[in-house]
Formats: sequence, C-alpha cells, structure tokens
Amino acid sequence: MGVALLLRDTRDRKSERPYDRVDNDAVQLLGILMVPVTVLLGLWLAAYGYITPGGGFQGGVVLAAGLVLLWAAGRYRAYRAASPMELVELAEGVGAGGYVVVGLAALVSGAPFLHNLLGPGDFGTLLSGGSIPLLNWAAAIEVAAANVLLFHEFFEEYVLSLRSRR
Amino acid sequence: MIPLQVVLLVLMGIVGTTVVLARDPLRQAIVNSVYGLVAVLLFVVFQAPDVALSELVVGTVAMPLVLLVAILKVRRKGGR
Amino acid sequence: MSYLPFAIAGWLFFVGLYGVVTSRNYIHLTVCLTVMQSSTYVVLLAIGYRNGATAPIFAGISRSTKTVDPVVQALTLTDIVVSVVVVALLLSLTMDMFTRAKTVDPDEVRELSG
Repeated sequence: MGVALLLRDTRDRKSERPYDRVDNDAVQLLGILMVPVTVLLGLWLAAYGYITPGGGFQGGVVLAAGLVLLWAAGRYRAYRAASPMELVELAEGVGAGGYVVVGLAALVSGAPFLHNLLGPGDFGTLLSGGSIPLLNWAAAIEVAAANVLLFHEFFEEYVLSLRSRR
Repeated sequence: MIPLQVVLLVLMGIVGTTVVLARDPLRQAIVNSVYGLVAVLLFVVFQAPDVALSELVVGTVAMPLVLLVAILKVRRKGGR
Repeated sequence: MSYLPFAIAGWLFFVGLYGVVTSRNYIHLTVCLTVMQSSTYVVLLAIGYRNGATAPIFAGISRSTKTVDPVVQALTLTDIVVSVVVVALLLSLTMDMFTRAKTVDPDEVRELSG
C-alpha cells in the first residue's frame, strides 16, 4: 500500500492509451497458453497449501503472475481490463479483513485469537485443517491482490516514462 | 551435512559475491536471478520445500518484474 | 552441527554490507540489501536442520520419523515475504527520487527537498 501511495502522485494524467502491442506471434501464443496454466497452478498451490508445500503466499504470487503474463504476451489494455483497480483494492481489503475476522471469531467464542474453532478433520485431506483453509484463502486473496496492485503501480510508472520519451 | 549442501553453500557464497560485484543494475538483475536459483536448490537440499517454493515464486515473478521496471525507467530518461 | 552455514551467512552479510556501503546506484544498493537479507535465510535454515531428517510434511509418514524444524522454516518464509516488500518499497522510492532529482547516485543527492 505504501508503494501505491508513493507512486500515485506522479501520474495524474494516465488516461492516455499506452503503447502496448506485441508483434511476435510465438511469444503471443505461448503466453496466452501459459495464462490458464499459471492461474490453475496458483489456485492449486493455494488450495493444497497446508497439505503439500505451498500456501497462500506462493499461490497468491503465482495468480498475480498469471495476470502479468496476460500483459507480457497480449496487450496492456487486456491486463488493465482483467484487473479493475477498485475491485483489486477491495479484494486486498477483504483478504486482510478476512484473516482478522477468522481470528476474532475465535476470540468472540471465548477462545484465544486465531484459535482453531472448526477443529481437525481427517488427516491429510482437504478439510483436515479446521479454520486454517479459511486463513489460507484469505492470505491468498490478500497476496494476489497486493501483488497485482504492486505490479500495476510499477507498470503505470513504466508506461508513463515510455510516453514522456516519445 | 551432506556434500551437496556444502557445495551449494559455497556456491551461494560465490554467487552472492558476484551479485554484489556486478555494478551495472541490468547485469546484476540477471546474476540475481541465478542467485535466486541457487538459493532455491539450497532450500530444497535443506529439506525446506515450502521456503524453496516461495523463493522460487519471488525470484521468478516479483523481483525481476519490479527490478526491470525500475531499471528501464531510470535508463529511459537518463544518459541513454 | 557444522559451522559452514554460519560462515557462509556471515560472508553473505558482510559482502552485502560492502555492496550497500560502496554502491553508486540505488537499484544496485537495493539488490545488495537483499543479498544481506538472504544471509538470514541460511542461518535460520541451518538452525532448524537436523542430519538425516525429512521435510516437515506429515502426511504419509510415521509419527516417529525425524523431520527438520518447521518453525524456523515459517520464519524464513516470512523473511522472504518481507524482503520482497522492502525491495518494492525501496525501488518505488528510488523511482520517485529519480523523477525529482534526476539521479540514482546516493552521493549526488545533496539535499532533501519536499
């Protein structure tokens, strides 16, 4: 969020169209093919984060990388359309808030903060973690949104410098 | 301490030194990704797959993107 | 327990510090700072490592199997996340400074102006 605040004041006039064409067919095809794979990998990492290696953070970053691929292979405008900033900022808030809500729910019911209310399930299955999956998904949403926001701010900065050079 | 760990630790020291000694930021970004790869291998050998995954994700996605944008921006309006 | 990881961590720390001190470019400085920070990963993982232990994934192994310490691994993970945030923040500060002062050399930035 600090990055967003820092970089925001330098680009008041950002509504012009950025230069965003990719002319290489191979890059375009491979990139477009990789987008669903990357997004799926991110979802998988986040979903199984507490059983296999992985987790909310890794899944979130890979999800954000899927969106970035969309820009690298396709058009910056497609990337912008796929990540409306109001929604991303909302998702970031929901992710961070969700984590706190899960923690507070335990507090309200008389247990310590972040106490596992739902209890353990069957060992090694997707539902084995109690409230840990909820925390995991909250973290994944938060990290993905924060990363998209971060990359967005940096790309805007880059696009702005491209334009001022031309 | 198995031999692979020793090799990777020494390699980490060497590549880390190279990262610092690479004075041009663009070259440094490339060497830095090699450094990230060595770190990933080291974490795997140290039986930390979780850490290895996050270093992998960070080293391939977050760091290069942010670094390259900063380097390009500084170069555009700078000397060249 | 071998002393090699700690020696390497110390080496990385001081090499990174050398880079930070002698850097003539804020982007270079930021990457040197991550090298410095990566020494802490080595220390943390070396503390948690035990000879002949497997990764701390408990599905499908017996209760008596030796595993490495998962707590320091969680710490290392947090460390990596923090390092990304630090890099992003420092680079955005660098870019902001470049638009204002037209330089990324720490020595050329003579004065702070708001």
